[in-house]
Amino acid sequence: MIEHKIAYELIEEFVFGTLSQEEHDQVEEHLDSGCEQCAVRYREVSELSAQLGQAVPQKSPASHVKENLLKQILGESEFDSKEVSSKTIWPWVSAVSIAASLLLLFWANSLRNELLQVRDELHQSQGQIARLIQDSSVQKDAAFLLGLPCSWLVDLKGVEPNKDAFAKVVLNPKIDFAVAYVYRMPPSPADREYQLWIELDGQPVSVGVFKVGQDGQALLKLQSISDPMSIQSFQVTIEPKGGLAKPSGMQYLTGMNAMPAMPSMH
Amino acid sequence: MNSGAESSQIAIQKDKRLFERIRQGDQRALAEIYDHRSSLVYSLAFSIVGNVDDSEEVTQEVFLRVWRKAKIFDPKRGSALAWIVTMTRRLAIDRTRSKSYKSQSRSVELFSQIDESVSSKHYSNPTDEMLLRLQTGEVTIALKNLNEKHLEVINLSYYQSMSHSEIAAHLESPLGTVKSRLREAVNHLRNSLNAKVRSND
Repeated sequence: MIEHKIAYELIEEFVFGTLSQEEHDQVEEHLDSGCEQCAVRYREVSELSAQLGQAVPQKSPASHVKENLLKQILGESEFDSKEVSSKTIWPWVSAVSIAASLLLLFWANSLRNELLQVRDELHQSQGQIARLIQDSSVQKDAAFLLGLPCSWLVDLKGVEPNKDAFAKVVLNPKIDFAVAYVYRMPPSPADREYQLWIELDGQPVSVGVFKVGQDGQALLKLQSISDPMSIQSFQVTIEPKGGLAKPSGMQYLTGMNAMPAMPSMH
Repeated sequence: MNSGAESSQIAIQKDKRLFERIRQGDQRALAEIYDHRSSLVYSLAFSIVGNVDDSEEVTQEVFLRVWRKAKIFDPKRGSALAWIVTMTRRLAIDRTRSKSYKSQSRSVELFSQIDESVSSKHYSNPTDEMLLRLQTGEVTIALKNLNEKHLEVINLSYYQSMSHSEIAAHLESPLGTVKSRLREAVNHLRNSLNAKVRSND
């Protein structure tokens, strides 16, 4: 095992993630052994690391990352016990007659096809459940916002040739996130995503990227809205997957932040 | 307690409650902690790997590990946020290694999403550039209060993700000097930020 003195000297690198795998494992082993001095240093440096990390300019990941994550955890918890491989069926064949094996082969293939179909359906269901969980979480945030005094709605209108599209954004001056409902938008292509921008001091700032499915709708939470009252306008453009630093694609929605008069805020 | 520290404490308490629910297998709690912390994880990963696809994969992997390892997470070792940030950095840096990124390319791509007007300016000192690109706040103030040598090692170690050996080669300084300078810089920052051990909150 690594000596205490060496492990202690490597704590900063261990926390910052720059150690080789071998050194990383050695320091982890040392920490697991219960060295109190190194544990204290680890806590100090890791808490500082968390603070330094929060100073990095914040940007939200695309909505499909969360969907994939939720789909995967649903898959882990539900599918493992249901998967039946055709390998478990084949050893039986050798033990019976040719006629019976042919029958078994037919049955095994049918069963395999049925399992594949069930797997596809389950996969689709997992996707739907993942989206429902995500939507439910955002709906909860929207309900929270709408229930607060001083919240207001901003209307975003469709731009030619998609004038039917529209969106509503819920904001509150004291809350650092907002929720947007988007309707009647064209489904986003596989390699493109919509990006929502706010205008601050005349400059566009990205507050999220999202996909729109066949139903033309999307529901998204806008993170890191530090000062909703300073937002001048909103717009939605189509951009490459993951979004860009500045809008470059076609505009789909636009709306001014027409904040209602709120005497209590002044 | 100032408002920044207060909101930070509220956020840490929220993480703690969500982790307790995740330990019990509550998938909605995972969705909530994702909403709460995914921007931080994604932004941090992006500042290291410099591209959307890898940043997204790191983000997904971090929250998968939160889901799978919440039961063995030991709050005595530090806050959930500290654990998440440490994991994010490790996974992101591993990814740059596995894809044979060079430290130079990491440095160039760092914060590449920021405003072009900032990027296009010339800075004689890379640490000035790093400071300008960080979000304003207590951390930036604390960094500005460091002396030049301490700021330099924090920039190279944390924001440029260089190992001690890489920093020593880059600065043409002995390895021992780099280690002690980084330790001093960390201690100065901790004192300046009044960083508290929150594991027992």
